[in-house]
Amino acid sequence: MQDVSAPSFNNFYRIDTDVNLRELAPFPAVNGFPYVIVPDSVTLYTNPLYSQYIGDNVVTRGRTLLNANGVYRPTSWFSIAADANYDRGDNNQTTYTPRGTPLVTGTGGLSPSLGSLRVENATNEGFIGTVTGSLSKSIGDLTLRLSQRGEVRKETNNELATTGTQFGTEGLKAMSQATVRTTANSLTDYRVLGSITSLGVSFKERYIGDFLLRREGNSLFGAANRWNTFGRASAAWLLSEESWFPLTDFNVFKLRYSYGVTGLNPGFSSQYESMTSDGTGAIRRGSLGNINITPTFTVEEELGLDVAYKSRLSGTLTFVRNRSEDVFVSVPAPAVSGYQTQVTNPAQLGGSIIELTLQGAILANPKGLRWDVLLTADKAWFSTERFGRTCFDDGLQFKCDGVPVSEMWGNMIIEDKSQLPAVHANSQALFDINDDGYVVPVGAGNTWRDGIAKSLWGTNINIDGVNYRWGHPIPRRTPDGVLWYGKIGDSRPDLRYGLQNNFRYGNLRFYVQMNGQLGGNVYAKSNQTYYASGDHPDVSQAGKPDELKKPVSYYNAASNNNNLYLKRFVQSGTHLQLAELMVGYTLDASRFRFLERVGFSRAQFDFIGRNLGVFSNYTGLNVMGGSPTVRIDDATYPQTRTLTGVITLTF
Amino acid sequence: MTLPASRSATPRGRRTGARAALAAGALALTVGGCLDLDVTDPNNLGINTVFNNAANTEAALIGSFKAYTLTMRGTCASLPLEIYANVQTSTAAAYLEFSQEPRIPINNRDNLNCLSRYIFNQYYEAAAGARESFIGITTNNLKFGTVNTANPNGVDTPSRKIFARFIIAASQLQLALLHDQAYITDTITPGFNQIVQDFSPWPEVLENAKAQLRAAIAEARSAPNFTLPTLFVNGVAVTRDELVRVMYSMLVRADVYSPRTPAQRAAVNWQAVLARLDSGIVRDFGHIADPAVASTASAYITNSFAQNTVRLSNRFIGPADTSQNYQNWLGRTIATRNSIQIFTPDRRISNTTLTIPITGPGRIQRVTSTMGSAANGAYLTSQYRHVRYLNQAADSGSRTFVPMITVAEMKFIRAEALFRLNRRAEAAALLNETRVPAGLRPVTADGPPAGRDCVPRKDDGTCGDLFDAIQYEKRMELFPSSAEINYLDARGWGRLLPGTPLHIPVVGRELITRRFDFYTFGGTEDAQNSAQLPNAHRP
Repeated sequence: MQDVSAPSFNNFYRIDTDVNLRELAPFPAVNGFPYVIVPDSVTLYTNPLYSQYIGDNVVTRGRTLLNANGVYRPTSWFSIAADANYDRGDNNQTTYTPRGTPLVTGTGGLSPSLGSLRVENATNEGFIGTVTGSLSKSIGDLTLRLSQRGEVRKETNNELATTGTQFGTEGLKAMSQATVRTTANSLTDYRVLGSITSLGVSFKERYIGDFLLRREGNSLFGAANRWNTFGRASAAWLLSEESWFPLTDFNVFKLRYSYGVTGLNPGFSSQYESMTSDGTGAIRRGSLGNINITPTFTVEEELGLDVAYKSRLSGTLTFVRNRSEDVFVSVPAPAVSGYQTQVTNPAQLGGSIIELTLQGAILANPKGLRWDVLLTADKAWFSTERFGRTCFDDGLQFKCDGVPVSEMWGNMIIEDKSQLPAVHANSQALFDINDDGYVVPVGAGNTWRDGIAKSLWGTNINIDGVNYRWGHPIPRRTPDGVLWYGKIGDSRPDLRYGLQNNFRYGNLRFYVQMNGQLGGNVYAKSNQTYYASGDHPDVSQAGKPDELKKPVSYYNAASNNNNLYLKRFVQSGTHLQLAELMVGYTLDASRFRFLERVGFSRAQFDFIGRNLGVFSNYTGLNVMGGSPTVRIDDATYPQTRTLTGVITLTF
Repeated sequence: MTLPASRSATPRGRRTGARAALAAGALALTVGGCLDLDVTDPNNLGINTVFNNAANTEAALIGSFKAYTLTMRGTCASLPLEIYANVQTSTAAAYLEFSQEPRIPINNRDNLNCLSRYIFNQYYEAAAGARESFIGITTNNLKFGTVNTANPNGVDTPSRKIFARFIIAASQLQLALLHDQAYITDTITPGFNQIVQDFSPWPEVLENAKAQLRAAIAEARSAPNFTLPTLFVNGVAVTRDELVRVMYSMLVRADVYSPRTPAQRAAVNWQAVLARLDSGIVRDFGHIADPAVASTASAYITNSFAQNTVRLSNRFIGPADTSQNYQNWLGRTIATRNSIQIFTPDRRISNTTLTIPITGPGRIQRVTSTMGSAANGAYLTSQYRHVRYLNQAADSGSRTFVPMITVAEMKFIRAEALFRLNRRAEAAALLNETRVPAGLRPVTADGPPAGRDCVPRKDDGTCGDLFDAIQYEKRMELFPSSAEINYLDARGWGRLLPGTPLHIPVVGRELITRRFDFYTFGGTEDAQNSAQLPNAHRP
């Protein structure tokens, strides 16, 4: 059971930093909550402590696992195994606001809630049964492993949610007290039949091969594409085991290659057209099903080299190339169908990555000092080989043939007078470049510093028939008058790296892990959001000389009211994170006798800190936000810093 | 039950392992043998569960009509159209794309564009549902109502087919009036889930709409009398003859509103329009908004009395001004314009607070507060809002009659037709029905009487003519009955500001889906697709 009440992260940030959330209310409006409920005189955000105080949201989870298996070996080289698994998960959640609970209104006052209760029950059940016949045989230097498996799988998810509002009474958390009740349910049913054949071959333990073929029938696809074939083949050659191998200082020198085809399933509803009642006698349309949807097939090739040098230094170098065909894309359904969206398989994406790991002992002192280092580095490339449809912008991405999915595309504010519309070709002197680097309209005889001195803020200015707000940033447009749209950044870093150091001296242990990246961009959506809402620290003009001061509307305009992705909010993603640090010490009873007296043979003390710090020039909230292909810092809860102390006592 | 692997090494373990393997294998094989991979969707209705069933098909028809009404009930796209028509103005950032001057192109790349998306996709939701209902009725031999010897196919079956065709025709008409091109929807193309079709230019879509209307009229006339239940057009029972009249009025709209330029509008066969008006509606056609019935509320009506960032355009009330304030406003540059107070003998416009609900002629009320977001352009601000449909409960949009075609609209079309046919005295008489009670002197065949109290006035302040009076009276009386009518009239009367799209491009998301080249309208003075100078109302 878990209390899941959580106020919006944005509310924490939007309330000014100098506001005291624990300021005592002179006349508390709610018994038990002594603090001011709207603590910021500038904004109307509810005190997050109050949100937490009144929240009565509880999640209860349960899980049941049953397994039956057995193996029958009629001979030493043949066996039959069967395995049956049952997995049930129950997830019940209630979200409750009692009637009468004072809630903050749009004008900053308090208004009693009419009460609401939402009860959600979700149950998922899964059954997987397999029967496997295995054959294992050695013939001379040749070792064979062959297995044939049949698999059956069924998963159902059943959800029921009831919402009650407008409670008729106070003090009873019961759906029966709600005067308005609505209920919704959904059920998904997923079934798979599979046949898996695998063959493992090893000759003289230096030539190794592994092959797998999977034939699968899947209920998530229409009849025409229900059965699909996937597979994998891999080979490895241990050159260091060859008698002729000249580099004898290498204990391990292994070349490996693998090729595999895997499939990705669509969502349960992707194949079905959906129409549903609006509850008052009408049927409306939702998404257009795709009966011809196929799996997304991903072909991955991996070429690698594993080496170990004098049992002291080891490393791997791996090159991976993958190509995904028939990638799912939820697209607008053709309008003539009357539906809104459809899941299709139009895209082909690709990518490659090169990875390097090096591990070794820097120090191995006989007196007990040891220092081991693990260094990892990788560099990735992404590409969109085919999108199968007209190019379109999808958030920060431009989905188009040949455009890597990691590229950021968006709009920009004019930062150079050459970007002004052609109509201003002869009147560029009426614009000025301000201290933020924006080209702003100022008019004849004025500079961007004159806003307060000449009372120009809040006025409009007409230049060549175009109306502007004085001193405000201007979105860049093409000669056709539409908003400029182009590449504004790239989420792909030049290099990602990690460094782990492990020190040990006697009973003292010290471990530090650092991660980071060089190059690549992050979109500071958090900055843009707070520019638009007026909550960014830059919006505060306190302490600035008048000529540098700007109104809130200036920052709203600089963020285009948070409506577009703007080049100005693209920043470098270069950073170094102190990901983990551990200090430990072990007390041994043989040396510290007092342990024996209290019955312990050993006591181990560890202090672990995670996410201890990030070093970067990034000005938003979280330089590590977003996904590898879309690095966007969108003002969500950042990674938390944890400090853990562990004492391990051994009897 | 999990057995240690080592137990299978002993004879007893092997026997136990064999039994367990047998049991688990048998269980897996049993489940596998029973497992049917053909799973239906338990959460939603599909083609087979809707159009094979009469009750569901009827519900789909009702849903299709709601989808049809949605476009002009919602803020999107009614407000952008009213802004383009210079009836309403907005300082809200979300609508600057439409209100900004000089006009800028529609941001058609925006998947959620408030104008281009909604007027395209929602009409096709309506048309697709109606088309598939029609196909379902005919191909699956669905029967509605009592089945007896006299009515072996169901007594209500003809009316359902007629209603389906009516929705198709109405949707096609809206698409032809508002877009440069669209898909043609008919009742002949077989099959469900129609997804591949080429665009047709708007004149072809218009002809299809008219053909569907004529076919539906003919079918209705040959069908037994019927009355559509109140669930169809919510809260309003519609008889066969009333439906026929609605369709005749739609044919009138097709002729009058389809022209893209004043010259084309002047060339309309006004004699035919007059003749068809006689067969048109004799009571307003629309539905009752009911908070208990989904998809019946009208944000559009609620927006008519908005006062924060949406108010009436100065260009809407300006022709009523007799103080020169409007002419002075027009004479200023955009950068120096601000909201203005007007003075007029038209009692429909009041500079004092009106009593709500409205009982007298007053319907436009001055608001002294500054519009919200005025920083987005003082030239966009106004001091007036419309309160005709504001009631004390402030729930006007969710508990009111939502008109779709009104008798008043048909009357003003008649007035224009009479004017175009040089029957000016008859046209003037129609205007005076509302003009005189509003305190204005009656117009004659020569137009409004000259003098200090002449209303309406032209942009240069001189007394307007009879055609100006027709335009003024129609806008004043109809608002806010149909958002698109103001836009279509402004287009045909040459009242759109330069750079305003003459029709709306196919929404960008559809172009993307169908792999067509992207395009948009507006901003530039493209003779085919955007309003041009000279214009009746220059900025």
